[in-house]
Amino acid sequence: MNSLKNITVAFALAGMLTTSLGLKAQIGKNGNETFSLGVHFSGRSIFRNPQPAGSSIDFMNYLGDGKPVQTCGLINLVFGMNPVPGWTISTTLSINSSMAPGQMQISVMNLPGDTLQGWHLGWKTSLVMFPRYLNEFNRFHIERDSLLFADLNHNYRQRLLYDACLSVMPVAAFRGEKISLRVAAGPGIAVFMPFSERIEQKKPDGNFRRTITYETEASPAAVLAAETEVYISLFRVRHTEGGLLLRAGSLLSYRQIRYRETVRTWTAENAETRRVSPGRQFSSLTEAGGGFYVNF
Amino acid sequence: MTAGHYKQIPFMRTFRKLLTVIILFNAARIFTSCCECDETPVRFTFRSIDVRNLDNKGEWAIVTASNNMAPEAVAFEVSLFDSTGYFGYAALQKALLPGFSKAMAFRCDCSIPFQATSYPESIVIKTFFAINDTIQAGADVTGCFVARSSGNGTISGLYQSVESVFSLARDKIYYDSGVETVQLFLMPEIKTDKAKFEISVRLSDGRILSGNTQTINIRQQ
Repeated sequence: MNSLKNITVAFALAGMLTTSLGLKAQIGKNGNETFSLGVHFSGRSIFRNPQPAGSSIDFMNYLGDGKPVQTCGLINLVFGMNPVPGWTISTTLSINSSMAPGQMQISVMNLPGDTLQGWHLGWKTSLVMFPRYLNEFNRFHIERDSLLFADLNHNYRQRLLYDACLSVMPVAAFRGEKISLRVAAGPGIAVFMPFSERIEQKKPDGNFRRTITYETEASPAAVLAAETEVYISLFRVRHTEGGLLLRAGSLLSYRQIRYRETVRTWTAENAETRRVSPGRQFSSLTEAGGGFYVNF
Repeated sequence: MTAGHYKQIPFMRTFRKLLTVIILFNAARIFTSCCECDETPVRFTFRSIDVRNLDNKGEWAIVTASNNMAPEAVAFEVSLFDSTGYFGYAALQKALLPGFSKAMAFRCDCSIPFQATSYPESIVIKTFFAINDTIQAGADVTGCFVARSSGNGTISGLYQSVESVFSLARDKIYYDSGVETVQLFLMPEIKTDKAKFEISVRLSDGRILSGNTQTINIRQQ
């Protein structure tokens, strides 16, 4: 919940920043500033290659519902602005089925001469942060530690794990009379926000007790990011233009969640700590959708 | 304005006055409902010790009257208290406040703080029977036990060492019950069919309170 709050605050700050820049842009002298609003619906598919359970827990195996492919639908609200010609700042807030605005994307793009028709080259940097559910990771202990009460916490073990990705991509853009196209692909770095979890165990018919504490690390991973946007202009009234927006994107990476495992038996003082680095799993995120946009 | 409207005015005045009285009455209730609890600790002395059996077969230990225990689940609860009856003192103190002597709530649930004149410093446990081949009858088995104390802050789910279980007992304030309770859990498995222990608690004034467990029948599996 704190992560969600932080993201909401970050989004609000980003919104305030872009809004203040936008107001500043509105009173500029050149009069070329434009704003854009958009809403689009998208489907997302996250694939990962699950690994067989080893002697230590691999949290990647418990992302989502534990299946290799997870899908979800999103409503995306986009606000963009061009404070000066060639520069675009945009924020995207996404809402999933829980109706919580848990995902955001902030991007800055430099595309010189993009107001003219034809091909243009530029670059784009983008920060994406989205939640992933970690479900019933205690199943690892229930299966492995069958001679113990494997988890004394009988609540449904679920936590929200935030995945953040920063990417820098070259952009190729085409601006036509009715259709505009942007294609971008490039490297990035992705991290899972660290978290800690604890498992308490006890022996049936015995006094033996132990706790296992997991403290994860950010575990940065190289990412290949790619995205395509197509704008189809349907109407133009004075300085206002509107139409259809089609978007598709993908993130490809080999991910892992490294952690420190501390096992305390009987008392807190009797502790053993070790670092665990599970093998990397191939993971991909693919998203595609469409909606409407207005530039003014 | 209609004739009916003029007729409503006296009724509205009466209603407003009635409402004012009700509001003032309820405001008075709020103003006088702040409790003034006496925080002066009532001094008491640990004079008695009580040892009870714990059933620790399941996920959490519960007090039991049974003298049967599993060989790896031998556990006891030790309570220190003042046998003079502090509950009686608390009842007496309330009775000495007749009438409405000061601004008090209509019902004031003040917890009565108790403070012991001496505090438990250490614990020694001796066994009456052999536990296994290496721990013989009469041995000091204090180090074979771990403990839990309800008020002394442990990492949830784990035990404390017996040496540290009384670490926060000095100057401790007990609310509503001046009872120091410690749960003791034996770590090694008992290889014999009977167990009995003598538990001695040394207090800061030099006194020693001792108690014995029942003779426990070990249910070998």
